[in-house]
Amino acid sequence: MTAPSLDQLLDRADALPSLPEVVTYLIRALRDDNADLETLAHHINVDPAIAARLLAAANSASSGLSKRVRSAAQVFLLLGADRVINIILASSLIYCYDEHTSGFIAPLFWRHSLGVAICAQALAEQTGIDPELAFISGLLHDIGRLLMYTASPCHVLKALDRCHHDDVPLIVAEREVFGYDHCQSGRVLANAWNLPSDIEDAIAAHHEPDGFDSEICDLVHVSECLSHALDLGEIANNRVPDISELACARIGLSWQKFSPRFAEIEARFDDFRFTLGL
Amino acid sequence: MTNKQRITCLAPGRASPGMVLAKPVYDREGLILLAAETVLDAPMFERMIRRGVNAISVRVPDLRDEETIKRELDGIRARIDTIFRGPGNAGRSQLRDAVSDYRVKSVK
Repeated sequence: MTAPSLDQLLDRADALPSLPEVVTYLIRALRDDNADLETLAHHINVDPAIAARLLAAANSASSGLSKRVRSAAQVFLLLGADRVINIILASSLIYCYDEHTSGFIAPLFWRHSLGVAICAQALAEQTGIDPELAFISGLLHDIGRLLMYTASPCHVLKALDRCHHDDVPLIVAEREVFGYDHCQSGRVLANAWNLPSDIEDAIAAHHEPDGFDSEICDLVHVSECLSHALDLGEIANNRVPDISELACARIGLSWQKFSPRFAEIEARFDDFRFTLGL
Repeated sequence: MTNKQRITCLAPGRASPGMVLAKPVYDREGLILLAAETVLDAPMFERMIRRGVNAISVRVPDLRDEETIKRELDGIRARIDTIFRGPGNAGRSQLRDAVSDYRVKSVK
């Protein structure tokens, strides 16, 4: 059986759930000055599963405290809106796409995505880019892999097999098997989900950002490389990809200046992973 | 028996009462929240979490002997060689240097 073409992917992936409503709301709120916490609280309160996950995450994030957190309002007071939003984004996506088969283990997929999101957030704080946009772009950067797996698991397993046995980069193996890679399929899914164009570009550019003139594309690419270099997410056969010097230069990154934050990135990652039970 | 200590970085929610800060803690605005050498207690954790502190540096007992440290360093160098295996561009070499330097300093 031949692999589905890029145009056929969406039709073949009818088992792929749509983007959770709360995630769509939070992404839209990034651009909306009128977005308010009351609407977010409403989204949390109408979905008991989200509220329960948020409370569990908040209690886990604050395990050193003597009192337990019992309401969404307390979570906002304790952790602050930014952290709450990141927990909701990550937990909603992880809960929604919880595939676990012999060839594709969703927790490992999300662990890597979380690693990239946290690197992106820390780099954004250093380089003056919107940290929330960086976090969500990092979290979603590999969604093309979900689409390809849902559309044709056997071809994804074939590409992964080639990757592991011959130690070739995943995008190379995907191009051999599918004729395109997860950056391209990610753009297709981002488009179908109506994600903002800068997030769509960041997904499309995360392995090869030079042709895109966008700070968020550069940032997500560098975060992908840094996440591999710090070994976040226990990726089997982890190998650090080439890093675009142009991307580093465009966001004004100097490793000498940024490396003192590596320990903080690892602490944040461990904390978030524990919080989300990943 | 020596009282050797090492510095480790943790999220405030993961630290324990009685740990000692190795470095001052700043909030998001860059204001100092807690000074170095402060002994942490439960109200301080809540204050740090509320003020958006992501990570703190604390002193923990270091029970390793020289042989253990050497083994850890060897392990780190081997892991860096593994994840940076094969050819790579200049940007990747710079990242490798930064990560190696960080890892070696963390172990020592």
